[in-house]
Amino acid sequence: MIRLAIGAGLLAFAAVPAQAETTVDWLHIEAVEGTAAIMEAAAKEYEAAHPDVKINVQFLENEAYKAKLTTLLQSDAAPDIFYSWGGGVMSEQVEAGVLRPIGDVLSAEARAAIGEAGISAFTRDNSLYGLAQNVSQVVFWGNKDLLDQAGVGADDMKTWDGFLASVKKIKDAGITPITVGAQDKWPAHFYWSYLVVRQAGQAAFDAARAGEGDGFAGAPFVKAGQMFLDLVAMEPFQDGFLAANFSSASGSFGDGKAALHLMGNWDYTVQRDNSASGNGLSDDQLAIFPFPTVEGGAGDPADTLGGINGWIFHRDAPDEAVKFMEWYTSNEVQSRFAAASVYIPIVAGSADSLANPYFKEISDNINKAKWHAIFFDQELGKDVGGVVNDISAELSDNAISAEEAAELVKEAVDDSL
Amino acid sequence: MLKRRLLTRRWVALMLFLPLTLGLFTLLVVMPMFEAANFSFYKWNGFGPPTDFVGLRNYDDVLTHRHFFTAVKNSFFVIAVSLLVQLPLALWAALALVANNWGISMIRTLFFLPYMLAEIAAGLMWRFVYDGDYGLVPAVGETLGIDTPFVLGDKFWVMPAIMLVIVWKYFGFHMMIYIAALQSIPREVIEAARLDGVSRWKITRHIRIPMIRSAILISVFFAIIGALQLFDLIIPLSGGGPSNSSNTIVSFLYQFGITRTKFGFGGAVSMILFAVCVIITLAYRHFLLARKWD
Amino acid sequence: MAAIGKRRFYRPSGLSIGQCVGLCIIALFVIIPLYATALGGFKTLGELRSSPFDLPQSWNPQNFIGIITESTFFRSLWNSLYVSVATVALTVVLSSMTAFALAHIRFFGQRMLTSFLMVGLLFPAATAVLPLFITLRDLGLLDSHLGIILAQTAFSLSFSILLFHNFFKDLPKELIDAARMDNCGYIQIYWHITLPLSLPIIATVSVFAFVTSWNNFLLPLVMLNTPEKYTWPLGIMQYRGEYGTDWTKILAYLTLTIIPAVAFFLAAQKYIISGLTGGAVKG
Repeated sequence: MIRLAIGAGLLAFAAVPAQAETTVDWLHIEAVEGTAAIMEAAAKEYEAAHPDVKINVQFLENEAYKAKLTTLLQSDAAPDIFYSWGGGVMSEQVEAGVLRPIGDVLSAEARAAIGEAGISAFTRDNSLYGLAQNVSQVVFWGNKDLLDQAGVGADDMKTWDGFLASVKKIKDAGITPITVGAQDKWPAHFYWSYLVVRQAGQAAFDAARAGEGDGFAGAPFVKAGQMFLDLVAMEPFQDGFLAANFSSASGSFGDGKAALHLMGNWDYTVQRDNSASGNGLSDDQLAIFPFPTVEGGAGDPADTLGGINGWIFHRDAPDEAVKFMEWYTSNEVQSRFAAASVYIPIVAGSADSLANPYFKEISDNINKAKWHAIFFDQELGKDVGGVVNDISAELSDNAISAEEAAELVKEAVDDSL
Repeated sequence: MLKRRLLTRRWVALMLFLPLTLGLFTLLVVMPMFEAANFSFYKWNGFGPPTDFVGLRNYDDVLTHRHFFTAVKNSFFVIAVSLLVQLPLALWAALALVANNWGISMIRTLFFLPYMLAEIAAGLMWRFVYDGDYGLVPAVGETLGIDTPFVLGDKFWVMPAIMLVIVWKYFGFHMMIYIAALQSIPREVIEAARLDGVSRWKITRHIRIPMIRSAILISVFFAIIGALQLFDLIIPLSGGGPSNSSNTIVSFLYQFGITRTKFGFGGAVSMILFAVCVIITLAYRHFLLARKWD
Repeated sequence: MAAIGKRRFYRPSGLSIGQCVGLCIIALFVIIPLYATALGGFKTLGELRSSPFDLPQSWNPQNFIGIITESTFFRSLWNSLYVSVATVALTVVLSSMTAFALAHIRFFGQRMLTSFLMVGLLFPAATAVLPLFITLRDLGLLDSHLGIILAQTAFSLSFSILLFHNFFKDLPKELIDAARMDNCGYIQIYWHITLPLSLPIIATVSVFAFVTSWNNFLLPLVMLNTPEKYTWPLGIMQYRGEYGTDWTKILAYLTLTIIPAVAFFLAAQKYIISGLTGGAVKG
């Protein structure tokens, strides 16, 4: 009896520190200081409300993150929560069994608040693996001053032909039409991807990724490459664009050195952060334009290209990690990011906090889209996605024909099936 | 009796001196090599053990990859420039800097300094030099009134630009090897020749250089192997671009094997590179180093 | 200089005019990137562009102070120092013992073993990263400095053994024979005779092992996960991610990380030459 009591006492004693020690490792890739500060403040706040949980915030630079994630996830040091673009890359992780399904822990309210699109983006084989945080869309960011100077308005760029004519006009006015960070490759892949979204449309894309028919070597995909080459032939990009990475291209747009930059909505803060002055373009100078429509293309003109990003969990992640993220992705926290114009949260209700007019417009665009295509380099997985990035960068350099480019993507798909 | 004791001692010494090294070397160098050889026959994304056996397909994929040939060509370009520009430059500098006085050893120190810097630091530094907006190259061009290209974004200029960095970074290393060897030539030999009225150039050509033959052979070997394994400098400088035109074999491996998690493909590249290194070494040893390495 | 030129036949150390000019050109080529980097950290972006070779208009130390006061900077230098020193110690001990055995003890398979150990020269560490990662993971050495130390040592063994081996072979044979006559064991010979004579080559091996370890990027990148354990090349990568285009900050960071390497080199430089003389190149 006494022994039992002692045993129980010991157990209770042991249980207390064990509970107090739950540490959740949270790995993010947010390089913008102000944004990271909001994240860390949120973690602190959660710790204060939950003394039994410690949130260990970790940062990795974007390219380093991509390079080491595979090995990282297979080690004891794997983070509990880490950033994900969803898509094929996440499917590979699910197949490898390194992720933790979270359906059992997540509350029904949180599920409802995130909404159908966000839930399905992180669901594989009927299991939910992650919490969607934000949506994004790739648009043309424009410098109004320069566009006015060249006499180009939004209406001129509604169609691809009109866009090409506008680029010519801008160039004739002695202004660099477009910046692109082609050394990183993925900024160039937005062009090819968006043209595929317009020219081929969702049905053809899904068929091609499944390897049906001619796959990615089919006519609409070749046509998309050809249209990109039409743009490239006008030499619209800044000097040295092949040696520029995303941040330097974004910075030179922020410095007013070019009229347009095809980039996700995050460029709003990035162009400011990377500009030499540190101020970037003001709201008065900025404008956004949807990607031009393509006459005769099979895609719906309202379709968008972008992302649904969120947080996924390592298979050893404790329930506390999911609970923390459930709180973090709720409107209570996400509205702060909306108010600070960092990104467009996906959670219901946060749209009201969107102070930024561009983000409001983008949020509407995505809601209206029948197909919100996920970045192809993520959607198609690391391998095929890598090839898409390769051919896009090479198309931007006019180093490859549209047929070759399409054929290479098809081969990569065939290899991966 | 004495002999037996010596034998025992020999074994004790061997057991003390060798196993740790052999264990560590086998575990962390040789085994990984065998493992790379093994998974080069699998299609494998790095998760879990490899199971999808594909035979020689990875090798076929590597050899027919449209950028592999460029990478091989670049690696051999690096070897050629190393041997034809870097080593002669190093030898020339060594011949000038062989003396041991204060001023000369300062210069020597300066020339060796780049070798001490990390590849990533040197790469970033030169990326700045070449940067088309803020770098030195456009600034110089502006002063001279020339329109300079963005060298790292230009398919023609990118490899020469990288070669310049390689020469900058590594010529001091080879120079030091030569200086060390030149200093070990007995003074009397050169004094004697000089007293016979042999010209300076002839002394260099017929006495000093032949006498450091083995140092030159070693440095050529390091230059070749180092060129084939060049990687760290490429990533911060050009990232292999533009349009994958400046990859070396190892940066090709990194870009297309490791970062895309096609580890079987990467394993095949390692094995091909290893085979090339072994063949070159064996040939080199056979023809030139035969007497030295035994 | 002209005077030296005229006397060149009598002064082997004298430089001809051609040599002087050539050396000056090379010196400029070596210095300019370093010079521009060191000054760049003090400049503004505008100055970088307009006057890259001039001294900065004002010596603004803000970039440097910002870096130094970040807790991660000194911690990453300390980590690098710790890892490098341990790698050097382990490398010197293991490779000198092995080279001694290979050079002075006759045993079956000696030549084969030498060739086997030289294989390490031919296998680029970059290609071994993944299997190495798996091995270290299975040993439970991921995300630890010990794992990096062991891996770096393993990969520096081949070159170090080569240097030691060539040096040991050239030690006067009489010394070792005499010791053997005096009934000394191999271990005593190694400890009391060979090692004390080998200080220059030990210094050389140390320098090369130290430089390689100090500058290593890929291995720590893949093996280390906790930012507190990062070595400085990883720190610079993170820093570059944060300030991708602000060259003045990057140049300041580069300058600060170059200083320890330069200091170390100045301290050790005389050993590099003497060690190379006795080691790599004679034989």
